Amino acid sequence: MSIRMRSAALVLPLALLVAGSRPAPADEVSEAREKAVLATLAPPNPEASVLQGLVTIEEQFPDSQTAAARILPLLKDPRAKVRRKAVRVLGILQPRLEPRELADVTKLLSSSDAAEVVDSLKGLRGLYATASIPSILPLLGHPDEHVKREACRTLAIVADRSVVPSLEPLLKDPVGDVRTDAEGAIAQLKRKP
Amino acid sequence: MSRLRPAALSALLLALAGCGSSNIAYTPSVAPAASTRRVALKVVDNRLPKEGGREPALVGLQRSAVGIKAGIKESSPESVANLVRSAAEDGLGQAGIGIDAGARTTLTAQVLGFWMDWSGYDFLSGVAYKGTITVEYTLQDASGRTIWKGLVMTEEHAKTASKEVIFGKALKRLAARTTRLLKGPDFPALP
Repeated sequence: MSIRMRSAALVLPLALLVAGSRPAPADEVSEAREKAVLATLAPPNPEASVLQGLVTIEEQFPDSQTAAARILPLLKDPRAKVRRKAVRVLGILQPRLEPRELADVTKLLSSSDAAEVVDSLKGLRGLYATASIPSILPLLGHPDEHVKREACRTLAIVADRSVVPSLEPLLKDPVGDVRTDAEGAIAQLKRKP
Repeated sequence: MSRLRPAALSALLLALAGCGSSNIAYTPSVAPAASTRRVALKVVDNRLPKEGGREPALVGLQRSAVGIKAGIKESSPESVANLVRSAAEDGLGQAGIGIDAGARTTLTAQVLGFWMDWSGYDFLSGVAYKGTITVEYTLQDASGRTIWKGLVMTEEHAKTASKEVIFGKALKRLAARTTRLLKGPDFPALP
């Protein structure tokens, strides 16, 4: 038996098998993939696996109707990196949150880790959480410049022009980027209806 | 001379790629849902000064291999507002809401963000970009009183710096999320 014939004998049954089997519809495949990704979020999965799962939801399933319910418990995860990514992805999914669920997000604003506060502010933008405005305003006086900048940007999205007087002192901030973000936020807020 | 030709061609291709001669396009859904309700639609370009507010044709930043930034631009300063209008109209149509300049209620779409930038580098897949569109909707009655507000934010990730690819997808999602928002339980009944 020549090499060509032997190859054909191997490949042909395989090809027939593939051709004969009914391919799953694209929706079913996507649903199964989404389910598999959501399964990686369940405790006690390792941090790297949970973070990768959250990135996959962010990039491939931003319209998922089931992911938010699986992500909300991660806001109370003992690992800071998991909480930070979870709040960012929630902002992208834009679910409709109950007041107690929103309180879990707002609670992260009191973290001693500036990076966690920054990510929570970014998440709150997508959540359009106007109820969180009173918790955001004190952050305009935060010692970390990145927190101040994100607070400006988040207020520009979720608030209205009534917060402009709270932003104005930042126009004299010693950090140029803070002044720029405060200016930008004030300009946006003043143009809102 | 023959050695110079490929170099000249590469330089020309790079220059053309940097020019951003093409524009982002939005193709609306085939058929809108039957509409019985009507609003007047107003689109306001209210982006941050440094992210297109000062220079309306600017929609993002592209970075070279050594990190040098270059602006990504549309050919017209009205492009962003027009694209968002098309996507918003599509989203409204799919929610069964028609556009009528004489309607008693006005829906204002404030474009708060329309920006793409480098989002990281992966050794295997190369550079990655992220494009974000943020639109705040405000519904006002004939007296100018605000009766409802909502926000749509879309983020699109891609392994390309193509504004057409990134914003093309982001605009589709903007339309779909607008429909979802306007069909939601918080959106008021229209006269």
